[in-house]
Amino acid sequence: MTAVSRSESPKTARGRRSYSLVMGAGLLGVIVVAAILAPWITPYDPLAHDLESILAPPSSDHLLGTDHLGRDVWTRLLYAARLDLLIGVGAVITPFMTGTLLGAVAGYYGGRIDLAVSAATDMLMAFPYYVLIIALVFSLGPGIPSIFIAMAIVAWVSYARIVRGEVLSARGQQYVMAAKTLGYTDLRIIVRHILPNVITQPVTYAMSDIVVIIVGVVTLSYLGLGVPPPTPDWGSMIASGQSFMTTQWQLSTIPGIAVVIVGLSFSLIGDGLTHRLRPE
Amino acid sequence: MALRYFLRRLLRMIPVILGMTIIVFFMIHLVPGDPARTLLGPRAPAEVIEAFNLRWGFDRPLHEQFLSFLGGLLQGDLGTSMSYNVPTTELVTGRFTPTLLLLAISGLFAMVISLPLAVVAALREERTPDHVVRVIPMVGLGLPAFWVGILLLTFVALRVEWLPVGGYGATWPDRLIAMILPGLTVAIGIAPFTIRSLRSSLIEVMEADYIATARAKGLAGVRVLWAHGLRNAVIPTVTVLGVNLGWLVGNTLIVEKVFALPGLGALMIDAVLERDFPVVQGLALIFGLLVVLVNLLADVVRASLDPRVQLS
Amino acid sequence: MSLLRKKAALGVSLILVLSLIAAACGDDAEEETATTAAAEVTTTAAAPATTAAASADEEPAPDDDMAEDDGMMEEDAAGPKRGGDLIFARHRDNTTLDPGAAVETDTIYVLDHIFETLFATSADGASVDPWLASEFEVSDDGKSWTVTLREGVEFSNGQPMTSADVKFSIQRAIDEAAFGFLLSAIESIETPDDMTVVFNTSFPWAPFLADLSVWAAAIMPADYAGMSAEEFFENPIGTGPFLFDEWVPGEYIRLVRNDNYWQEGKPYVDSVTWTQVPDDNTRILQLEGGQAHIAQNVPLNLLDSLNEKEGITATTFPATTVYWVSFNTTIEPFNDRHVRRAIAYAIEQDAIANAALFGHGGPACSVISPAVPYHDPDTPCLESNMDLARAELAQSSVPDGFSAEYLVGDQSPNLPIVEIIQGQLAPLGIDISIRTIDPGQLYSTIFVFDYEIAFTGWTMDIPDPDQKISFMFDPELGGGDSYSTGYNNPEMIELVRAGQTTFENADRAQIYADIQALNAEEVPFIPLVVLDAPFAWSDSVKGLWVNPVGKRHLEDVWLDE
Repeated sequence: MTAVSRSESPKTARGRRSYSLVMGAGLLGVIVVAAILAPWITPYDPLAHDLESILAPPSSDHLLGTDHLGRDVWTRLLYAARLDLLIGVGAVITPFMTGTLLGAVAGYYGGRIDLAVSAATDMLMAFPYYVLIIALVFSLGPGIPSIFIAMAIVAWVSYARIVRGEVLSARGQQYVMAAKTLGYTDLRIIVRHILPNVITQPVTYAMSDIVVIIVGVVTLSYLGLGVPPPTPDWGSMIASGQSFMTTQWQLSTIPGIAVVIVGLSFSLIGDGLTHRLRPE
Repeated sequence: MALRYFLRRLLRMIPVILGMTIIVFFMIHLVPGDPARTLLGPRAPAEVIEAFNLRWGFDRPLHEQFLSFLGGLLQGDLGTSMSYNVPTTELVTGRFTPTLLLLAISGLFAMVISLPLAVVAALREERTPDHVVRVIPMVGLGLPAFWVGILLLTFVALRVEWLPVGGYGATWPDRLIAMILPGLTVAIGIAPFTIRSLRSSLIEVMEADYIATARAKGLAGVRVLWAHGLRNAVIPTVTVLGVNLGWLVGNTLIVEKVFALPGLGALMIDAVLERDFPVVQGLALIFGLLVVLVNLLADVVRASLDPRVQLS
Repeated sequence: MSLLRKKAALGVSLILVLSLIAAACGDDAEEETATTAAAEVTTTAAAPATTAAASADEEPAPDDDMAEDDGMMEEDAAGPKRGGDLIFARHRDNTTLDPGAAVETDTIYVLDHIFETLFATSADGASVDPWLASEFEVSDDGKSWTVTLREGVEFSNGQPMTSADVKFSIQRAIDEAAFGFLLSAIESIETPDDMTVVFNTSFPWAPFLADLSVWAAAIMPADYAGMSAEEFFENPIGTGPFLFDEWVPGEYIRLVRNDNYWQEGKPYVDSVTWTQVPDDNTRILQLEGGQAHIAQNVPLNLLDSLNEKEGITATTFPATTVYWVSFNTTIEPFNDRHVRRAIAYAIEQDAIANAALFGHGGPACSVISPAVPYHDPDTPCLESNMDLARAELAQSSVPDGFSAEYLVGDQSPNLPIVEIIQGQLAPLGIDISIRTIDPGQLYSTIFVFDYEIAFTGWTMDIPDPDQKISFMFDPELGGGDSYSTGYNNPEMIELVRAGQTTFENADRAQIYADIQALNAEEVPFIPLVVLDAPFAWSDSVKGLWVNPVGKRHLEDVWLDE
């Protein structure tokens, strides 16, 4: 998905990519800092009901108003950022590692191992992403641990595919040949020589994968299969605001915008990284 | 030739389908703990659990369960819905049309949205229009489909009188109109992928020899693209849609729910919420098969359009 | 005393008692809650005298009664128009077409239009009128009820309704219906002639006529008109204003006009289609967009703003709905009354009503809604007090709290209420997780006890508390394991049964007051709120009315399009 057309003139592209890297990192930085500092930024408790002031419009007391239980929306937005970012980044780690490893092994050894890994990726990829995630969360039961497991089972496939392809072409290259003739172990060749050279692709892919995972988590929560209430999460905030759409449109709209901004920041970083990390 | 190609593709699908069946089966059955407990809840009384195990055979060895599941499948039996108490196949039959209609319309919309943007970007490569178009997928990737659906329902459907606010019409013209916003929502969801891939494909097409020749003949960019490139760009578009089909179908799931369309996806989500595992299992398999079949179809269409794809 | 005299006397005493109850409950309710629900009760409950008297003496003309009561027909000077296809959007689908198997209201409200009963709840919801019956007499000993059938009633297949059909239907209800226990006092049914049915009960049965008005006592052709039960309920035949046309589960159910309907000229519309639109918002948006004529279960927060929109009326009809917390008392820790009482102390009904009902209901204390006969406004409910809650929990098996799952049907206004309770219980160390479920599946889930705490409630089906009270508290004869709480208290069961066999109204009132008090003390059910029925409809819909037991009577509705 982050594949870059080969026809760009490297100079201008690199300049622009640095720009997007800085923009993306800056945007994300602001969000992360705000999420971490949430208890100091806002005086409210994200869980505390205030049934005397429900559905209040935005004001100086409540920057974004309050929800149907009188909870401060701005506060919940910030605390939701903590959770959703944590899940997004956290859930990408396992599939990144297993996928990269399996892809590398499959590409390096070929043969039956490759066949098995490729067959597994083919079959898993045949299922629509959401069908797989929803079915897995169904059988694991709703909740945050299930999301991690479901993502781990589903998302490694793309990394395996990407890395396998890269390793396949790296295998024939001189430095690998040289390492082999030096009698290094396969493990050492894969980890020390091949992976550092092919890691760019999965790393940049991980940036868009984080976005996909965050959107996935938010979607699951919207459907009532993700983060359970009352824990603040953008998806459940959108869901519970939906019945007030015609009168309090901000309740559902603003958490969605938060998702989009986070998505944009990771995409910008991925875009910038693509070139930054590209081997000369 | 085409027939032989088709048959060979069909043959190659068999192991994939078998593998998918295994995945679907074990997805539901290899959950740690007692499936009856997971599905019926920790508080279900012992006799209910026992009856459940007897009814669904959870007390039998795993391989036996799988064989009976497979045996049922070969006879077109996807099990019986626990909440409606009718065969899953029966429950599913009426649900195909809205889903297929939505898929077709979304695919069409995705093309209509992506192609012009990709063309502009490709023609103005590395200039302002290209940069602008390249930002679109970055924003689009983070758009939750259900949220886009909610916004469209509230801010568009409510204001435009002839657009229905969710639901599925009774007549075909009504149904087509009812698909406009859901189709748009799914298309917006897939556009980030299609725009990027198409842009790259178009740039490749434009650099191809025959275009270069056309350019050398003095034709301007747009006309070159129109006369030669675009026709050839339809093929990569179909390919790109095929590759992203899983994503497309996955989004229809969510969008059906938001727009109250009585399709397969809405049924699956309802079944999940009702812990109706035979229906969840059956639908997961149906969705998998749907993707495989549509991909096959796309391949065949592409093969017959594109002389470069070797049929033999 | 002749049978006829006795009948008149019964009628008069009924009037007196009902008026007294109405007055009593009205006054207190107003003081106590001052909600619209209570206010509606005072005005509507004053009416039963007229209908009850009329029904005892004259041929009833339900449509005329209705016109007087509601004044809704007056605006239609030109008279109702015939034709049109009415679309009724609701949040959940039917579960069956068999009145014997039906248990939840939305299924019943559709079946009401296919099948009818001998007696029907009056427009004010406080008594019953003869419906497929024309008159009745009760013997001196209160054990024999002679019911004369209405002339000229035909089933939708053209076959005339006779006493044989009634006998078959009632016997089937006793034997097979989920709510057949209501009729279990019937010992024998005699059919001296085609138009007369005699019901002999094994003991004087106070709520008998009201029980005959329950949907489960629907009249269908004897022997399913020659079909198997399965065939019959695929394409049911009844005396109702509409006949079954098509049902696509999860999508819609459509009925079309029954041309053989006994009320001359009705129904007005050609067909009624109930569409299932689970999402509250979508349902409203469909109404605004003209895809639906009527929407039920309108989110309470949207009602007022919706009513201000041109071409739409959005309001509530007085209802008999009470929502409560119910416990699976067969498992720990909910078998411990201290736990239940601690929760009851912790819950603040006033706060819930204020935050979640937007002025269209009020806090509840008794399990019997103020709009229902024998509601006791002085029920000694546990107050909302966190200190008492802590003290109570300290005496329980789980003094430091516990985790529990709260099962709730995903429909307005349930979820916010449950979220508020989640917040109210948190300080006790009770960690509630919320499990939402399709409202259509709620009952099948709790009936197998697959829950810990559930959000359930009750809307009356008949104008007598016995049906609901037996179902809630009598695990043996009430047919529902005490509404799937498993609550089994011999003292309570004795009270429930006494309520059924006591004819004297003051005594009955005392019995039901005791039942309400005992629940307040033991709290297998913690009443939360009483609620009116929120509806919205487009201006093209004329003559819509919903009585307090939820009956829609769509045969009176016509479309001005």
